[in-house]
Amino acid sequence: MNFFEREIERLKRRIKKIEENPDSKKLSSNRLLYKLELNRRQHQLDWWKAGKPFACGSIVSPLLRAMGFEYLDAAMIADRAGAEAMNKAFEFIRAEGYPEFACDRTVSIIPFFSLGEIPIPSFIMASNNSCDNLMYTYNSIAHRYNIPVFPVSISFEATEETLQYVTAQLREMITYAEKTVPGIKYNEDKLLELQGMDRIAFTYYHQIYELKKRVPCPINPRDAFREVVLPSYFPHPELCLEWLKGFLDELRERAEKGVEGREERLRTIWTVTGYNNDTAPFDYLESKGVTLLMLLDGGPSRWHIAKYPVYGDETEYGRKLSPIEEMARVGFNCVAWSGLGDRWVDDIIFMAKELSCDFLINFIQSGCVQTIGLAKLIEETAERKLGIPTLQLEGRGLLMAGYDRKRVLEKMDDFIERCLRKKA
Amino acid sequence: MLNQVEMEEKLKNLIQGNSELNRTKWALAWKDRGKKVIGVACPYVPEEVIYAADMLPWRVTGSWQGSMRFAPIYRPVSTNLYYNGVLENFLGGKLDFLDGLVITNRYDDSRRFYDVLAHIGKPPFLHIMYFPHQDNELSYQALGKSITNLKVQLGEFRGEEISEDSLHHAVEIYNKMRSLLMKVYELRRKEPPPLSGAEVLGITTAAMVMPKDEFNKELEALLPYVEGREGSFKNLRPRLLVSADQIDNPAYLQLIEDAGTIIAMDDMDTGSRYFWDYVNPNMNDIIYALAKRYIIGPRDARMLNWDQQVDRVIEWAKLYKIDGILELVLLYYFPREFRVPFFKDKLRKSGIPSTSIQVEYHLSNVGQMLTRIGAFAEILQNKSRHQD
Repeated sequence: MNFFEREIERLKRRIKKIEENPDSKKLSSNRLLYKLELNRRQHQLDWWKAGKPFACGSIVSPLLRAMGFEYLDAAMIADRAGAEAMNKAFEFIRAEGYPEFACDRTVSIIPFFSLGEIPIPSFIMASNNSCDNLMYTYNSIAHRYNIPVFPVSISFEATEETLQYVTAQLREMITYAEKTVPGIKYNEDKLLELQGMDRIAFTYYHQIYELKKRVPCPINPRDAFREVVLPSYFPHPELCLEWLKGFLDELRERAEKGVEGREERLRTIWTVTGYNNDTAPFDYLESKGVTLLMLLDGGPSRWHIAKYPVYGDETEYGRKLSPIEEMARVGFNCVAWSGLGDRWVDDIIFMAKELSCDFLINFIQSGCVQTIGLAKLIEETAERKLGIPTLQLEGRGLLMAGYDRKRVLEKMDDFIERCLRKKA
Repeated sequence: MLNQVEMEEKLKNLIQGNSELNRTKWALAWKDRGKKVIGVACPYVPEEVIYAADMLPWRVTGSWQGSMRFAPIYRPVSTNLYYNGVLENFLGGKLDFLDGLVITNRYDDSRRFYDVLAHIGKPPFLHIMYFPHQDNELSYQALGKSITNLKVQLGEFRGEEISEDSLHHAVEIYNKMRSLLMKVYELRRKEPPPLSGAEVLGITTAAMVMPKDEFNKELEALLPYVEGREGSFKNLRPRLLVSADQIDNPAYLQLIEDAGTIIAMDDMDTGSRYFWDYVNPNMNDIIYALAKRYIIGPRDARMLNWDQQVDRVIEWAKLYKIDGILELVLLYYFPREFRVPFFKDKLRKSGIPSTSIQVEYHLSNVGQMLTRIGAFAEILQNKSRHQD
């Protein structure tokens, strides 16, 4: 079975379980989320079987879809691949000589094509907008499988000049893709439509963020630990909006009524990623009355915050942007990790303050060159500006070899007990 | 007129230019003259701009010691080992004489290294440049703007704009350095070459810490001697090309040659890639000329045009009659790590034997390295015997 087939089975089981035996402690809108995911994976499987073109690239889904590609969310697929698939992927990585100590979320994508897990794309955009490791992963895939690849290089500053630079590259990319991949044609109306839907999603995320400010917060750790998804990631974007609205409404209801049996003793945000194949740390946090408010990664999660300009904003550059310029702005020019360190550290401090965090959890993900060099800076800045400590956890995000759950939980327990004593 | 012994002594002094004992000599003398020294921690920095500001561009070498006391406070051990070594030297006070540092966004960890320096407030002038990832017209324009910004920032730092004339003059001096080093590298085609790989690395890294006009004078005076010199090697084959990044310790290359090989050529940013390809001095727009040279010149896996990079290495392998290519893959320098399979595969298709060894920035695991290199050398020798 390939990844899509496994996912389809898993999601069908989950939906069936929720429908037959709903758990009142969990969000009922999760059913909509699983249906959204199921729809995507089924569509992708059908697309693959029909031999239609996929494209890979980071934070550029609206543009790739508007060109006629099906967007292949390779990094998110890696997140969901599971421990067994990840182990197999790393056997391949070691055997072939790829960097086994690079971020597992990026390098593991390479074997998934060779192992038949996901389709080989017809086009790749390789950009440093998310991180270099993803860019080099995509460049490796392009060279290995002889796929047309278009590099988009971004600066670490967001200015009118750099916006035009990225926009020019995206225009060249469209021309290149149209020339190279049969049947591909850029449709600006489609891009506008998808950006419009993403914009609505941003407003929902802003409202969710406002709810998170409430004490106690109506969200539980597992639900907070979700990567932000946007409608343009999906073949039927309206389903994403339906889920997001349902999620928002449910959180509002919980915020009004309160969550039964939950005592909030401490509040925190978790950065980068986590031990994705183990939920024990989240269960632990919940058991200790620690509200995990959100997972703050360097990409879309910053758009929870209304102060950051998104599609339609005319204040950042003092004018209305064209659709391609909007793509350059949102997908490239202001991604949190792609700037200098203070861009991301400032995001963390801002959110921690607004959400009344008592401490931070900073995950030092092995091989994540965007973030591991900032761990100490985050800790020192949080202490200096907010007077709050940082729990530094280390590990790999997806590969579980070497993961010691007991040691991690002991470290968390020791830290959190100290925080509780301090607060008391 | 110096005799042979004296010339050999002069050559050895130059080769030792970047040794731990000597490397700060010229920088401190420069400062004694009331001038500024700007550290360079990236081969993508167009040093000519710093030179044009009448400041000494000084390539920062990291700590060659294995253990670090200070750097791990800020940077986990699983990050770029060269930057960790440099940070160790900053925090240990060994680089307090630097007035500034310029780096680029070579890869993500370069930015994070910059971020730590900015956080600790060292050195007084700290600048990071954007460098594109592709070789095309848009990139030349973008890099041109980045270079102009560096020029402006340095001008503000010194309190006086950098003139076009001084930029042209700097290009002239640097092109002269390049042509002299090209002559050294042409001599490496001889069998056997007059200089070992370790000696050549000593010369190129000396160029990176000396005032360029002084270096040019020294090397120009030595060239006639070097031409007639006989290199001393254990074996005349195999001839290797070593491909690496950020490795600046000649002891590494000495070890490889001690295993019974000759390093006849390199693909290193501290070696050939430092000087290969000239800045076109005849372009009206000298900034554009600089941008073009720094993008087009031989680059490492950080740039995305992997095909052209490996084609260049294959071209060198033919020109320098290379028997095999040894790739030293610096642990946690991910651009190269990602390119390893492609590099190997393309070389294999070209019929060039190669092997990759993962290394740390400081010389370590010597026994293991010797064994692996020795084994590779033996394979190449056997291959060569069969062909004969």
